[in-house]
Formats: sequence, C-alpha cells, structure tokens
Amino acid sequence: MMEQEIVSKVNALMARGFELSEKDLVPTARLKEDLGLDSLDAVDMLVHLEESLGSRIEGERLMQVKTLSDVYGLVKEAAASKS
Amino acid sequence: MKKRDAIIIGSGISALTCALLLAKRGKSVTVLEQYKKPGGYLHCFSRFGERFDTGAHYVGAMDPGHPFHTLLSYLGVYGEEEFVALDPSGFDEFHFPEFTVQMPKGYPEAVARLSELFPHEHAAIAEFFTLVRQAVQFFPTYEFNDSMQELPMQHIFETSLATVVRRLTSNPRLQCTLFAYCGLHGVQPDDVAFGFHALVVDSLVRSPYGLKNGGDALTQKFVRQLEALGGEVLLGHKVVQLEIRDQHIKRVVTEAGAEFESEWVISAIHPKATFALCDDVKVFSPLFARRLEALKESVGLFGISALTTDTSLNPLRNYYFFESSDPQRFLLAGEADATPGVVFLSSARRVPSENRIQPINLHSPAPHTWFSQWRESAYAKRSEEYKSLKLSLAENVFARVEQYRPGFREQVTRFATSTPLTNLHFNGSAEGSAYGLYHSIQNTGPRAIGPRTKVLNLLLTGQNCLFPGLLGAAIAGLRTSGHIVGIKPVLGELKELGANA
Repeated sequence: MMEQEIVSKVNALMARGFELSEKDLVPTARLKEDLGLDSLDAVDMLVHLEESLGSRIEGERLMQVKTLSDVYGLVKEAAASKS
Repeated sequence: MKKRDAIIIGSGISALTCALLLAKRGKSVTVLEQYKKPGGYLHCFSRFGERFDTGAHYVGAMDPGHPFHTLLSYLGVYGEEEFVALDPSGFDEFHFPEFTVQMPKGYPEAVARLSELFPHEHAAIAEFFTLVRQAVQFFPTYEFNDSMQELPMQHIFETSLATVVRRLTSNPRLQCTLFAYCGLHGVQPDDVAFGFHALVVDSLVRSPYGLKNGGDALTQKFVRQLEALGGEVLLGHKVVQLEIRDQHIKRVVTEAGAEFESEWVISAIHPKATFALCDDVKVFSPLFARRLEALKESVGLFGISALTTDTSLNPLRNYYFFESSDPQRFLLAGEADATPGVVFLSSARRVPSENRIQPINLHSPAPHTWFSQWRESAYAKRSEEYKSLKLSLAENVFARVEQYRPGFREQVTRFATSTPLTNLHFNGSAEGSAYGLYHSIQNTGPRAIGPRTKVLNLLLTGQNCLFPGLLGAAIAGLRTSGHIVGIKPVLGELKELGANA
C-alpha cells in the first residue's frame, strides 16, 4: 500500500469512527492529548484496521503508539508483512 | 436514596464472584436479577423427579491448591460436599469414527495415554502439554501471580490453537484429539486464541470435578455468604435503563420503576444488552458501535434431559460423540434434519444409581435460527410444530450416540428437551447462545470488550467479557472487581491461600 493511501485510509477511519475533524488529523497529532482518544478507542481502532487490512497487528505495539504518524507506520508495516 | 458502592446486573457466577469480592473488601453491594431465581447458568431444574443442571456440567482446577478450589475457598463458598472428583483414569471419552480416546487426570498420564495411541507423535504430544502449562502461567488471575505484568501474556492471544497444533503435528487424528475441547467454548480451532484454550485444557487435566448437588447449591452458598457480609440479591429486578450524565451512570432503573444509585455499576449481562440500556449513546464512538453490532454469538445448544437404564455409562465420565474426524465439523450444527456434528453426554447425578435408572444430559450444537420463528411465543406455550421439531432433533441426537453405543435409544425411558429459546427465556443470553460471544482472537485478550467501558463507572463482567465456562466467568468476576478494589492485594491473598492448601 502506498504511503498516501495509508494516510487517507487511516484518516478516513479516524474522522468517521471517532467523529474527528479532518483538519486535526495531522501526522504530529497526539492521539491522547490532541485527539482525545484513550486505550479503549485504540483497541477499536486496532480491530478495525486488522479487519480492513486482513492482517494482524500486535496489540501491544498499538498500545505504544503516541501520534497519528506512529499509526501510519504501524499500518505500513502490517501491510508490508502481508504482501 | 441509599447510595451503594456497587450495583451488579445479573447473578451468574461472574456477578456473584464480583459481589462477594467487593463485599469482602467492605463494599456495599446490591445484585439485581431479572429472573425469580439467582444463578444464571448455574440454574438447575427438575424433571422426572431428578435434578438437572443447565450449565454446570463439570469444572476443572478443583483439587486443593488448584485455582478454582482456591478462589471458591477464598470467597468462603467452597464445600467439599458439593464436588465429586471425576474418574482419574478417564474423565472424558472422545469417540471418533476410527478411534476412541480416554483422557486421564494429570499431565504425565495424559501425555502417556495419547502417546500409546499415537506412538510416533510422542514429542508433539509432550510439547503440546508443555505449551499449555506455559501458557496458563501468563494468566495472573488464574495462577494467582501478584507480581506479573500483563504485557508478556499477549503473545498467547495472538496465535490460534490450530496454528500451534498444526506446527506440532500433521497427524489428523491427533489434531482432532487436541481440538476436541473446542466444544467447551464453542470457538473453532482456527479462531480461538491458544492461551484461552490452554486454560480449559489445563484446568481439566489437572483436576476435573462434577457438581454433586448441582449449580443451585453453589449459588445458594454465594448468596448466603453475600448476605452475611451485608450484601443483597434482589430477584425479579429487571434493569431497563442506565441513566448517563457526564460519562457516569447516575441511576439504574428497573422495569418496576425502582431506582438505584451507586458508585460503580457492573454488568454481567451481554455487552450488546448492556449498552442498549444506556440512555446516552453519544459516549460511544461510531467505531465502537459498529464493532459491537458486528460481534457474533457462539452457537446455541439443543439439550436433552433423559433417564436411561444403560448402567454401563460411567457417571464420573463425560462422553463426546463426534460425527467425523474433521475438526471443521466439530461445532457445526449442520442442518436441522441431520444428525449433529458432536453430542456431549454427561451424568446429571454423578453417583452410581441404586435403582438402575440414571439421569443424563445430552447436548449438541443448534443455531438459534432453527427456532427464531417461535421467539416471540411464550415459554411452555409454544406451538405443536416447535414441539415436533424438538422431538425430531432429539432423535437425531440419539442416532449420533447410537452410532457408538448400539441399543442406546431403547434404554432411554423418558426425556425432555431444551433449545436456545429456553436459554433466552431464563438467562436472557443473546440468541440463546450457550457460551455468549463467539470468543475469537478478535475479541479476546487485548481486543476484548470490557471490563472498562467509555462510561467511567460502568464495568463489564460475565462469560462475554473474558471467557466462557464456570471457571472463565468466575475469573472474569475476579478480574472485574479488581478494577475497583485493586487486583494485586487480592491475588497476593489468593496465592498464599493456594500455597497453604
């Protein structure tokens, strides 16, 4: 999956799934402090990403991500490990 | 209005474990049960002058010092007179078309028994049971380890049972044997996390027991102990609304209009049913709502409570009759007009009968869809068509047993049946499922729904929250109450109690 494709896929999920504004979805946005998401939201995100990618992401890795950019990185890895 | 420390919705073993643990720690607890009798799947019922259990057919880890024994002792509800050790030489008997396996108590014995059957697979068998033992060490709320961090356990939730077994052996018969216990949680080998399956295997191999006086007797012990500690169980109190303000439940409202306030609310009912009670859905994200909606239920069970004159059945042994050695078919109900993929037979009395009549339970997978057209009709007042479907399903179940025990059908003198609709009526279980949510890797371990929720004083427990079965649900109760009183000191006390047993 191309970088831009990942960014738009994740951003679309965040915007729809958590009712966030697209303009707040910048790579440096911190999930907790800037976007107001907590660990329960992270689990929902993990399950959704896994289902849409068709590959598994280690649960504990997702718990460690801090920013939106970290999420892009994780999805990129998961997509690469699948192909 | 008296404000309690905790309101608990539902009164199955998970709810009662929570209630007792909190009460032991000085919390004021009220349990609200919709039905006229407490216990959930611990319920018993009478037919033909015999007692039958709805859910408590056998349980593991019950020797002194083993986890379930320790937990019940800690809660003050263990009674030696309530339990009976199953046959150590073979507590479970798996029948496949080509071979039969009797599972003995104890790890070395289990390895030796399976190695006799599969002599070329000794290394794989030994490795499987070693992995099972290793996996359960990662459950602090099972091994009562107060110093363990949660993180290292995660890898056992990332790998399926099928992945582990196929890596160890390509022998299809051995694979079937190692998958056989999937019938006890209702999740296919490819979907269940190895760690959870390991809990079931470990508890049974270590010390399998039956309940001598049924689940009702255990429930009574819980209720009496809770009342002695100042708690209460209110029956006929169906919760219809959870009033939410500022991400907190302010009030719990029942069908009869009673209102309760409490610091914490613990729901032991199905997560979908729990969130449907919330009057403000805005606390949940659209993503969570979608995930909740997509959750699957485990399969329902068709049950038969029967009397038999077959005295060759060992009351201290359970019997599994499989249609084939194809693990993919284990839990499949197939079609309503076909013999089921598996039948589970257990004694309802667990002591040898004096009058040559033995009460037994038979269970087989049966999806709720077979019965959905009667869902709205009243319990015990359903149509002739429903009754005749039940009769034909019963004959299919008997036919499966007959395949392995010729003459079985003739020895059944009386029988009554139950369907997923029966579970729905008594327990409110979604779709009448026997094991609650379908506990695939996608909703267990780090991906589980609960115990914490977006409503800050609402916690979930029950077999949906962690894992099914008496043990799974009781551990869920321990884990959930730990969020309120702190789990470490409780685990420390449990560890000490277990070590001194």
